[in-house]
Amino acid sequence: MLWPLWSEFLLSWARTRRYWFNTLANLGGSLLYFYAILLGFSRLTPEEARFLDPGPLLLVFTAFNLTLFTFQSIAYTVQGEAQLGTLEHMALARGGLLRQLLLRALVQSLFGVLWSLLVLLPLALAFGVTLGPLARWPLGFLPLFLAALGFGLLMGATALYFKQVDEFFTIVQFLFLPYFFYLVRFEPWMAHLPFAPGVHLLRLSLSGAEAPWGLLGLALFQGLLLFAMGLWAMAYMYRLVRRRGILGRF
Amino acid sequence: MRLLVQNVHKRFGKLEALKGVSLELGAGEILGLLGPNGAGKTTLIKVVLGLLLPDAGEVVLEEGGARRRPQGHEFGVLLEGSRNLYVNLSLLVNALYFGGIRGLPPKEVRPRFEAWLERFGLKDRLHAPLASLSRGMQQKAALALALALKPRFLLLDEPTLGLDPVSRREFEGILLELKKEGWGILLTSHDLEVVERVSDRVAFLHRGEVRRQGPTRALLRDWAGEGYRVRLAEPKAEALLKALGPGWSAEGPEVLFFLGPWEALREVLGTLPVEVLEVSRGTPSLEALFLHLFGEARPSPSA
Repeated sequence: MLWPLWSEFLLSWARTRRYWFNTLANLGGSLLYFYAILLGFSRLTPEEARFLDPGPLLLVFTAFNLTLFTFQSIAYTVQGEAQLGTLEHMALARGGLLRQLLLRALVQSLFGVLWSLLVLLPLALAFGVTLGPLARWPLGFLPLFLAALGFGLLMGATALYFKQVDEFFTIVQFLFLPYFFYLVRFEPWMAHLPFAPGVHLLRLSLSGAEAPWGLLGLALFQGLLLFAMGLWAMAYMYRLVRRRGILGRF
Repeated sequence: MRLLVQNVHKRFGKLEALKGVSLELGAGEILGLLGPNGAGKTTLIKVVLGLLLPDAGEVVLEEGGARRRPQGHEFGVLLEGSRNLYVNLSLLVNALYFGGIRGLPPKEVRPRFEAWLERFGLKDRLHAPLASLSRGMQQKAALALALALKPRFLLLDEPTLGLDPVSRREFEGILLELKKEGWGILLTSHDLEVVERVSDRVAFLHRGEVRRQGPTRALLRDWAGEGYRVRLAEPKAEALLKALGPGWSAEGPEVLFFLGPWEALREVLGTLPVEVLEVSRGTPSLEALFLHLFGEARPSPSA
């Protein structure tokens, strides 16, 4: 487990260095993204800004970026590796392809967090925004990350079979609309929407409000359910593509 | 320790790619898997690796009386074409990554990889991106990695592709060394001279079926009385091959080999536009046998 995980760190770092221009552009993009949010805040009247606390909101948007990234990362890994012709070699990993893809998603997510914080922290400092999340914020983040990983696996399963899935993502990204519903308030009917309970829980955890246990249970259940569905879909599709002989084909 | 492929069947739609293939590969043995394009060689290798699931049959690793399904990471692999490494990353990163995902720490992989690179004359390219190397060098780098992983079995699909003659000779020597060290090696190649020199056993695969298999020398000896060596007065063997039918191969600029009945040879001899100096019985080369079995006339790599 240690060396397969270490390998993914090595690969991500090597690619970051190799494609440094893209890494810089990514940082620049994040800078503009957060700067635009902060600029928006500074234009709000005190009445308008009454319900919006910029610190937690910025962190929630960071989490959103990460969720979206995780959601796509497995499928893009499958697509990219198939294109390079190395997917079959990745499948020869100790523990198999599924575990290696999960490790890569984990490492890429960590790199994503690192890049986001690298931009966010100096910006927050410059604008005088206090981030200060609660110590137990990871508990709020866990269900959301599990849900994102579950969706990521579902998309990865699609990519295993169809390989090029970019356009499909355009449709699927509408699933992220519920992510923004919490900005008004959390309604019971949102419980069935993917991500909504998790995001609301995260918002509460970040803003220091008490999160109801019911919400935690609901978000965790949704996260685990999506993760289990993703694992099942991936295992099923991995078997199918190996049966049809199209694993490495792009 | 033995790797057993038992009665493997694989169908893709209407195409029956493997029809009950059974093979065996022991430690310290080189098995040459031969066959024309589309015979099912790569399909079989992928089944062994678990990258392809068979419709029937199984692949088993037998060790000390215990039998189990081998795992993909237990094999060193060179798949056909340039699909073995990340082209835009350095040789070292490739080695550490692919070693790492197989559970091998860098301190084990790196010295072995560097030693093999040195052997292939690529040590100074350790930090160079794979894409900056020539096709043959890339093949050597992929080969060095497959060897550095020190697997129990090595599956090499067209390993001599892109290698120059000197490197090919070197590669032959390496294979023989590895065999002595107890590695089990499955080798597919259209470079039949190499296969003939290094393989202990060969299996001929055609349209998904094993047509013949056995010890290389014994298999060739079985055909010893069936072939004829035709020595020409002019170096026109290559040119003549194009007009000759199945069963003919060239063993040099002035030597043709025919594997088939004397009556068929006699008919052709009278029509040859070149003077024939000598006809003698002889043991066929692996290539001559290949051409005879698969009924295609192709120029010999040695010609």
